[in-house]
Amino acid sequence: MLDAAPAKKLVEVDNLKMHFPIQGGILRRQIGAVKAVDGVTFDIFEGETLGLVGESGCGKSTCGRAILRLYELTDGVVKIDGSNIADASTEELRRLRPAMQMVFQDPQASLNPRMTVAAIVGEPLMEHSTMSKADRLARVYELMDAVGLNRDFANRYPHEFSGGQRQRIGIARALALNPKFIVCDEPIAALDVSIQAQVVNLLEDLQEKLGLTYLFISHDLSMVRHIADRVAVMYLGKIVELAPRDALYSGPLHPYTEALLSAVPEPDPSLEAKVERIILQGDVPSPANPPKGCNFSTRCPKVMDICHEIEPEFDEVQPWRFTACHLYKETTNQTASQKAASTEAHKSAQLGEPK
Amino acid sequence: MLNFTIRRLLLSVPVLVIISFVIFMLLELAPGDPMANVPLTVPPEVKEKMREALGLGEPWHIRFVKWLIQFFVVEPQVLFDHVFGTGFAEDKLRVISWQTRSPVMDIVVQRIPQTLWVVGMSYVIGVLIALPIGVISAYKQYSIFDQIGTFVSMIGFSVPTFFSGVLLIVIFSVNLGWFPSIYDTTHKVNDWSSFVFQMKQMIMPVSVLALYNAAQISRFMRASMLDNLNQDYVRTARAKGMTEKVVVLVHVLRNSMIPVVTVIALGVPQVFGGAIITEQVFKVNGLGQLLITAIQANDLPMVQTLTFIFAVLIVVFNLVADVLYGVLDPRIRYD
Repeated sequence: MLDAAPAKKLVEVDNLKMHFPIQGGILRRQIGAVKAVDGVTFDIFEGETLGLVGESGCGKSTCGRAILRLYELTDGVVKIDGSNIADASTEELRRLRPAMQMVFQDPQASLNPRMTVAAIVGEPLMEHSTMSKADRLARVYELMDAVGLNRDFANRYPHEFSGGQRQRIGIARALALNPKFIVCDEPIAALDVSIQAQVVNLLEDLQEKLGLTYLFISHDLSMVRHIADRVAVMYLGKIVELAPRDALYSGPLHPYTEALLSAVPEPDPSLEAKVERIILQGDVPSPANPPKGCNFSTRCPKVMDICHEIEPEFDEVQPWRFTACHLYKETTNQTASQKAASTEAHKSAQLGEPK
Repeated sequence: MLNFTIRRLLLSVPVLVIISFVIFMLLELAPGDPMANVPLTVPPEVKEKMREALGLGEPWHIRFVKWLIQFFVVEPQVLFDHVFGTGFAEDKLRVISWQTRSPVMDIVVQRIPQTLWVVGMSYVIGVLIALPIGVISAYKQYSIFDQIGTFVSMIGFSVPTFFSGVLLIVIFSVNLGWFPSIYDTTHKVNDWSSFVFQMKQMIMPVSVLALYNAAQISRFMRASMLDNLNQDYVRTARAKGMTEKVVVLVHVLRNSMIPVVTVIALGVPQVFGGAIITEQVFKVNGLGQLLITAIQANDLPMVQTLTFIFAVLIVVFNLVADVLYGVLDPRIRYD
């Protein structure tokens, strides 16, 4: 993928914003917004797995759902296989759905408790294809084979399965319409460790066989290291770093990525004692009221003056490595204070009021 | 499921015997004298003889057992005779009303159609109105439709039927003269104009009760829909690319109906119990009205029998609700 001729871009996300209104007062007027995803830009190439990591509440899942437009986007462009889904009408969107599917986090809650496995997996076929009943059942069996479920279970209900099996149902359902792109929204978070490996291996096998493209959302850094080709790190609604997996894990650029990676447990106890953890101080600011300048400026161990003033741009600082941090902008670094001052002056001049 | 049903039916037998005993003892302990309406000029010895003639001379446990035999043995025999033309119940003493001296069950059978026509119809209409209102209110939560629905159901909840009933009578019978204020029980429907008259006399009591029922059920429906609309499987259905109609009507509604159906089933005994107040307001000769007059006249066999029938219905429909739960929700299995 890092070869000279890059693969085709399957998913293009440009400045995606997903703000949830906060309503208050007697008349329920909008008094603010939770900026769950606040201007995210990245591409996913055909056949690759992009890992999306970050701590709880940073907007990973919202980002994944927004890309499939399970929410009405606040702003931005999302192109999947060339068609812009951000402003597609409901009917157009429905027709585009087969190409993009999602595996959900909670395999219990995301399956309708009143439908059998055959009904859950076969329903999309009923809606989007003209298969006969027998063909549909054959396809359901085929999918159950593909994800390693016994065909005899087709008439059982979701509650009769274990967590791992339920997640396999979820994957079979997502595969039913031969999608190109699958968002895996923490597909293993609700499973225990032995099952996690099975499901991840299943996802990898399917990718190889069917040429799928994944957006793999997780907070499990080791699992992402295992499955992803490239990794994006999110903090408070923004991507702070996007890089090929090995480069990111061996030498993180952004201070947040550094802190995040230093938190990964070391399995070897003799090494574990020597690990130097970067412990971040304070809490994540509220996404309803993010700090001025860089979102990470309130907790960053390498914070500079400029970080509190100007939001860093998300730029390619090395080939294939994108980050949003002032540390890597030599020009801004040198003239940071100057530029901050001039921007302020410019702003006040525009507003026509002395500072 | 069948085993469960049979087990529950067997269990309900001792429950019902205990209920009938409690009802009997409550009536026994309650003050009141069936002879209270007899003129004071009748000498006390005569009154005593009249009491004995009603069977009041016996001690309470004998009377209770007699009632049990009459209700559980003789009355079913009467029904059997009536259906198959046999003669098992001949010359056996049935449960006799002290007011009319005729068998209680005969009177009950006479009254049931009135109650079913008015109260039953209001329940059906209430449910039919409530379900769509609940569904739409939940789907468009906080919309104008939802606000109006909430307001109307608050009115339905909080305004008692003796007020709304009288209000309707004042407006539509007294001022406008559209509908009769008294329900004519003897009216027979045999042609179009008599059917129209029947509809006219039903409209007011039915709408009063339907408002009350719809208020409750629409709230249940709305709450249950809201519960399910936020579930993950709804998002899954949308991600599958289902049309909004399928998402709401197949996925959400079918799951939301589980608690609502049981609530509806549990409300059915109240239909048979009649709406005592509404039947009084509109002079409907139903079961509720029968019960209230029996209480006023100290007609203990009538009160005992009616109350017991209501108890049976409540037990039966509780079972129906439980069975429905098992049928509708695959996660619930009784065996």
